[in-house]
Amino acid sequence: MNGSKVPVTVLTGFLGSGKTTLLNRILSENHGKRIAVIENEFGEIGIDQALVINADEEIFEMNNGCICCTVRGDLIRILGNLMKRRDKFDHILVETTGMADPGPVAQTFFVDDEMREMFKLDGIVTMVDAKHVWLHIDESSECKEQIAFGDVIVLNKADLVTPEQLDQVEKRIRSMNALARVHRSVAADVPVPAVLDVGGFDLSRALEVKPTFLEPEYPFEWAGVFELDEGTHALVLGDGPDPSMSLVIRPMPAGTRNLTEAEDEAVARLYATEERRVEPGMVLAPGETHWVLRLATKGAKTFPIRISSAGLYALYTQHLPEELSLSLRQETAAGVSVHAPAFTKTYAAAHTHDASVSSVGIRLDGAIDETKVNKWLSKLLREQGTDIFRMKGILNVAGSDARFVFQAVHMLFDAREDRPWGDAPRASELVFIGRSLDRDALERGLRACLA
Amino acid sequence: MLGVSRTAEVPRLASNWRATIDDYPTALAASRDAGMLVVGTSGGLLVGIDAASGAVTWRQECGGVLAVSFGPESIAVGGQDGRTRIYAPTGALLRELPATGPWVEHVAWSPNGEYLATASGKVVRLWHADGRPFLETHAHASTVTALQWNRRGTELAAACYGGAYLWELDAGANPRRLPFQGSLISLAWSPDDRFVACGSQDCSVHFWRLPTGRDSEMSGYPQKPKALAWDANSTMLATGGAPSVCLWDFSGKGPEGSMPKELAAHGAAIVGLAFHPRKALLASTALDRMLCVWEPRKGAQPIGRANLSDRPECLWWHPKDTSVVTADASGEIACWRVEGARAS
Repeated sequence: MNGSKVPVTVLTGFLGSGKTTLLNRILSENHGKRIAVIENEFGEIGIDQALVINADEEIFEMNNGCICCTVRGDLIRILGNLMKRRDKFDHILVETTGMADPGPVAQTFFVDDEMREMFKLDGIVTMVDAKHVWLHIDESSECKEQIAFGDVIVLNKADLVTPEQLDQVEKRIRSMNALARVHRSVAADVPVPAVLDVGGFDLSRALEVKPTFLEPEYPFEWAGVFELDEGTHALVLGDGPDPSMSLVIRPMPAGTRNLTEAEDEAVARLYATEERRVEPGMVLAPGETHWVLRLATKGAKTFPIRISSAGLYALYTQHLPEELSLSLRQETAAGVSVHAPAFTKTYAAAHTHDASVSSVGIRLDGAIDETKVNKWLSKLLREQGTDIFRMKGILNVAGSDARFVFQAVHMLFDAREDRPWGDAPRASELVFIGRSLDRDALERGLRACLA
Repeated sequence: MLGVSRTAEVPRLASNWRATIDDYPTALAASRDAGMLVVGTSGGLLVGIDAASGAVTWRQECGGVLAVSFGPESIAVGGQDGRTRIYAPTGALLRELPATGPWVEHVAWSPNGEYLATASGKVVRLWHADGRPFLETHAHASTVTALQWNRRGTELAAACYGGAYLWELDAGANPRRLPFQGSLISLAWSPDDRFVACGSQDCSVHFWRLPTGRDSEMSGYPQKPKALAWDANSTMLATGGAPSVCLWDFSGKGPEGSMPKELAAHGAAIVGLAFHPRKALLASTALDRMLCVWEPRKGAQPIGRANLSDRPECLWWHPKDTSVVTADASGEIACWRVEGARAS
């Protein structure tokens, strides 16, 4: 109605992750903002220029049972009253309990008409204890949801773990939430603007933070580049865990020694083509063939490879060579020599991925049909909104010179036309964060919306 | 937009008086003889106003006010400091009830003034008029969102998440639950004590027929229908939750299967509704900062309107004449004279 809406920051994280430390830091720093804090855990802090109110989390589910209509009743009452005070607040901070699902807090500011009128949700800040997060991240759905919902994730207590462990936590967090900005901190020492002015729900800033698109997943775990002479070479495999393994061998493009992402992509596409099953003893030839080696027999299995011109060849294998005691050999007059690869690369395998909570990022170059994409997204959110925690995107809509931006929290959807593309390359980018996401289905769904 | 163009022809109400209290009013109550008004504010001001002249007769500083109830002899004030304070009509602080923890969001004197009911968090407490504790309910499913006595003063209704509870005045008595699968945000007991109507967070109005327990729901409101008002005969229920006032007909078989009468003149959501305690006159206030007065039995157009200075907060009919008092967010209290109302 009148005036600007008061921004709200939701601070979430497990007990002991450092929420109160961050809160104290925000309140004691001289940022000139008048902040009201709604606290839900024990302990009261009184600091000048701030009002701290204790409240019990009251989760209100609606009559129709719709999950996206679940709101925090206590916030509606308390914030409604807060806005009647003469001494206005510049910012509201809502601290959730350690076990809270951030969904209802976020939804309160979209679903309730009074709250929507007076406040705007600026961002969800998730505190993560870098050392102890491993205790919860696999079992606790609350822990996963808190990470999945975060616009900003503060990896706190970084001093309690080694740099390698910290990298590992961050990697895991990013695999669950590709949209969040991750800050590392000791004693919650993050700059206040990094948590108070996030714009996480601001459509015009929807994808300002380029999502760290996940490392691409490939149908192979390993690749090696070999220098091979003209003649017959032998691929020898021992006993492994699986009765078969897929493989591609192809000549390297002229002048390259290392495997680029373009090469990987090309091979990934080959892996999707029809396979050629071969028994031990059958001859392989380099090229655009998706081989599947039959490995059911016991003992060493040999597949001859015929090379008609000397050069560099890339070998892509479904499993790691050591899993199958794989080697590439050549019999010469002097005996058997084992080729050492000139270059190797390992890949994140699709099947090792966290199946419960993850991010799926999709990028598509062609223009999208507006009617089709509307239909697809509304059906998707209607059917899977419970599992899709957050979604953000920019669409390259056919016939429009402007970006189309949108975001969703569960089934709540917000979209509008944004600034023109200008000279920027046009592409659609969507990021989903949620539970049991099916990357292939989502990609197919978007692809089917191409104009 | 038809309604908006019509209001141009609606006569503007003249004010009997205006008073300014320079803070955000959150609650207004009148003495039983309607001679005096008391207004509480969010900033912690309690103001006594002469209902005939609008003169501010006294001011008291207290904590941020959430609720005010004017009993036969004294004024109860619920505050954000978790306390209930009792003031004399002269403004003198008589006593402070023991702190009860969370905000005291509702206070209600029983009709005869024997008991004071207070709601603080999930618990409702009853106190003797002299401040001695009398009863304490179990914790409700959520913070109590509305508290109202029936007209006879035999039962007290509390609304919360999961339903409304009717408490009888017996220690150890179990309440009667009026179940609802969602969060109730307001409650209005019909003057004949036969119906309880509640507004809910999911944009519907639910009501129960107390003699039979039969309940019904009116859904499809665009906003939360927090404002509810029964007419003096318990035959009309006015509801907010939209820019139009919805009037449900409770005469005869009741509103089931019928369409409500819509009173359209406001340009934004209704926030206040009040029927005159004796006449068939309805007052409505909305986020368009307008007051409208209706004779809903006679027509669907307002018979008078007035522009307020800010968002309307409180609404009260003078029971002895046809004037209506509004309090808005700017702190302006105004008494509007409704003329030409022949409704009886």
